[in-house]
Amino acid sequence: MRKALQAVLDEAADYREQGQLEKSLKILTEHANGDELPEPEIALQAARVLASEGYSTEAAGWLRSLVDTTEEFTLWQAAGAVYQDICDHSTDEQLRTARIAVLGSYTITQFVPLLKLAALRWKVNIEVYESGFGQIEQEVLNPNSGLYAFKPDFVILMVHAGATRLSAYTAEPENEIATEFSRWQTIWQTLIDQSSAQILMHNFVVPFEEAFGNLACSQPGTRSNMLDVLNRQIAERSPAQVSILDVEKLAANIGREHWFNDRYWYMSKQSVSFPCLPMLAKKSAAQLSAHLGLAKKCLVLDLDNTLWGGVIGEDGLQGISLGAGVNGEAFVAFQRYILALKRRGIILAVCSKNNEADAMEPFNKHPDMQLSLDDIALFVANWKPKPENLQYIAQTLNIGLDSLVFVDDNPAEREIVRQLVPEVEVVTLPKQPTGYLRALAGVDWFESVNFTEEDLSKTEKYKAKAATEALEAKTESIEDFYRSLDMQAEIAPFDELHLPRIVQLIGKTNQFNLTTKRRTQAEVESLMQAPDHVHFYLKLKDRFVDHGLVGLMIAHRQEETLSIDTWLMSCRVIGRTAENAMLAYLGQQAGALGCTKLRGRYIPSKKNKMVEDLFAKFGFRSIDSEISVPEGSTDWEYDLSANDNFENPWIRV
Amino acid sequence: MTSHTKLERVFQNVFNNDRLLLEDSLDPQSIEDWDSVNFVNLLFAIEMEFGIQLGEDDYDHFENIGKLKKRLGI
Repeated sequence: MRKALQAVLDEAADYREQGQLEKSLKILTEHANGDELPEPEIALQAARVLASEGYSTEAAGWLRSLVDTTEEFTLWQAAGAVYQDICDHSTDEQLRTARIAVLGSYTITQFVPLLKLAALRWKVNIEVYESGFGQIEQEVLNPNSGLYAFKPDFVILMVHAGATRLSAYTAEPENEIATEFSRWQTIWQTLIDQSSAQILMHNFVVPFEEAFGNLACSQPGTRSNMLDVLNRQIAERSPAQVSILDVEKLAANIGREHWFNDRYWYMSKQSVSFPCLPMLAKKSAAQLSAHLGLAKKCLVLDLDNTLWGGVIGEDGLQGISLGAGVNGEAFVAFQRYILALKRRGIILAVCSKNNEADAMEPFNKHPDMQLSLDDIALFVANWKPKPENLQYIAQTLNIGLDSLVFVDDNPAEREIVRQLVPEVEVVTLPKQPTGYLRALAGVDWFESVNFTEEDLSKTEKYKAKAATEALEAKTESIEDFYRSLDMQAEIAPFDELHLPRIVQLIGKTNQFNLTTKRRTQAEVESLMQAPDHVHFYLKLKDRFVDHGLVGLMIAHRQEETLSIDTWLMSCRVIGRTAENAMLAYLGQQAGALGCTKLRGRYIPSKKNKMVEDLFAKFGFRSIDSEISVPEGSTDWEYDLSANDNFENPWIRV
Repeated sequence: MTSHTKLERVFQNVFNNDRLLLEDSLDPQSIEDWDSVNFVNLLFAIEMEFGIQLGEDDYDHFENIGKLKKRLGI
């Protein structure tokens, strides 16, 4: 059984206490390997151990993962302190750098280390100049201030509503708003004149309290209303050197009740409650990174169980879930959001393990598809490993791998991508499709600094690029991935318990199915009694998922020859080498029965092209077919007495 | 985890020093990095960890660890 988090932390702390840092780290890493993303407490502890030994780059890696897995202030604060210790050390990692002046109308001391941490997530090492609280005008209007001596690339103006001079109520709101707006205009203009910094301006969060209650929204003179108008004016009338961080929207999303904590205002002039600071840091870092040109450009989409429910190659057009039902509606909403991203300039690509014709069918024929083939700049549907396809996509669209964001419902695909192409950002989708939209909408990777005519036609541009560029796909070794999956199989003869699933698989598997022979339950039962048949199923589980019973084989024995009658596998485990495990097992069975030859047949169907070369791949030699076989079939033979049995290096049986 | 260890973890996190051990006699003067900022951070972290709110009247309890533990009922 897996150890509890606290026990692991305690044990790691004990080893560290004794100076056994390697052991400490090993325990943490082992625990982390049990999750798709390491728990933040584990990441923090590992970063600490590594940082104390001077392994800054490795420590930074753990800190980055913490940013993705928690928004808890105390963890961020502790991680920020660890980063503080290592950020000045030279790391062998290439980090971008930027000089940021942070000017606050409230206390920002706690915020600054969190901003550094959030920027590290984007591989940006920021150097910060921090003003005293409430010193915005003093810093900006004095040409000899520390601010200008620092020569910032960016100035962040962190303001709160209390910094404005708006009354609780006035009979002349236009005047008050105009006076307040011109005050900020002066600040921006002075910054623009005195420095070359880009200005990142927070807008004002409307306070929790409002004496007018519901009436406030229809009374122009209330402070709530004036702040709304001021925010709008700042957004619409500020110069090009000013970008707005919509903190008002962020506070509304989180909830004002949580955003403000009066006690901490009185205690130390915190206008944003501590628990909300990590979110604010994340949003700020995303905006900063967009200005540095680091925002992502392309969304790469899986299809089956990502854009619709079910597997198109197995379930067919009528069988997939899209449009009707709880999940069907959620998939439609998810697609609509993706379409909205595309319309504002995000390039879309498809990366799916499918036959291309199957994969395109819903796009062409399903009435509830929101995305059309025209929306997809590059459509890649094949059976190659996804990391390879992602490299192909990046090359063909002529963008960096680090411009891609990958969306896939399958945790194992996400894992292989994280491992083999770590430049690609991966969206961790929840199990339920109803949560997909929120998961994608919650990532900050697509911030942009402007919106132009060009964004509207980006897809067409990239489509043309993809069409003209001839490319060779690069191959990556995937042995590490197989190893890391820690796959374990159970192989056993058919039995009553598993009969329903066996019959189901025989009845519906289309793609990895060598002969596509369908059998009824009665037929399978009688075959189980027949002494001249070898039959077994395979169950597979890995670090992430128990896939259950996903493959089976039936072979027929005639003297010294064992002929494969049925060999099939569910598409959810294709590309895991489970076929090696099955064939190796059959080889053993053949040996035990005294057989010296294996025979196999491939009978082509509309859907099973992916296995036409399977026997050749395993070293079977082609032999003449009998006359009676279905058209297009090929027959294969493998001599067990002259060859080794098949290898199965990645799956424990 | 005992409440004492919990408190110790809180101090270790806030002061970024996981070798910091809490003796009853430990006082602010003997903790490196104790300043007004870290005091607020500490206050917040204790409030979160122990699910309480500490008011202005409670600040006297930070004279030393023994007093603080008494206030927290440890």
